[in-house]
Amino acid sequence: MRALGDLLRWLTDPVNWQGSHGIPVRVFEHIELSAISVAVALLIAMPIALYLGHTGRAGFVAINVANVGRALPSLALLAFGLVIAISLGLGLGFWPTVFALVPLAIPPILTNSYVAIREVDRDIVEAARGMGLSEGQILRAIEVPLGLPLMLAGIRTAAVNVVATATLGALVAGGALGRFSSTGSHYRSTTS
Amino acid sequence: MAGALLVALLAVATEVSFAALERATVPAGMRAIR
Repeated sequence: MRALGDLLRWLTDPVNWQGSHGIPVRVFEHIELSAISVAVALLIAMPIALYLGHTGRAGFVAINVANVGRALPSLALLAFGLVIAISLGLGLGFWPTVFALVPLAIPPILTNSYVAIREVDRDIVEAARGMGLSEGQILRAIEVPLGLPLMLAGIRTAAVNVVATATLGALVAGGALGRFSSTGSHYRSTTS
Repeated sequence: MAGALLVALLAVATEVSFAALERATVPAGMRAIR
């Protein structure tokens, strides 16, 4: 009960709702970090998924390579992202976290979009081809609209994963909402 | 604990907003069955 009382006191304290370290700023940082990570993952995964789904080439290999991202622990990805960001001179905080979150978002987007395109009824695709539609038109007018529900489900899964994992960014001096947890943890360990 | 609560709320908000987006963009007969 004491913990809940502390939580309510902290949340209702006006000090925590203002300034550059307040809750609104941290929420905005969290949304910004997550949105950029999902956008980069979309830019990487979507063209590959559409191409592989439409042509049916090397899909099995690509999906399995992308799924390696699911097997890697988020902390390991964060350490990997930190090394990349420092070697590129991008510093701590934002970019190492983005580098860690992008591989996390790619597998659900790639897998769902690939399956969404592959699962479109081949008879419909063949009928469209028979009517003279080009491959690009088939993709845009037939396969993407019919596969849209599954594609959106993949993007949604990726977005929720990224929002939940962006908390780890605080471990590499990032902002976002993880900062509250890491600050609280440090405070507890130094005062007890 | 407050940080965890805020992240959980944000994750739920993300889920709900993407569900709303799906509802808005996909015709009723084509929605993914859950």
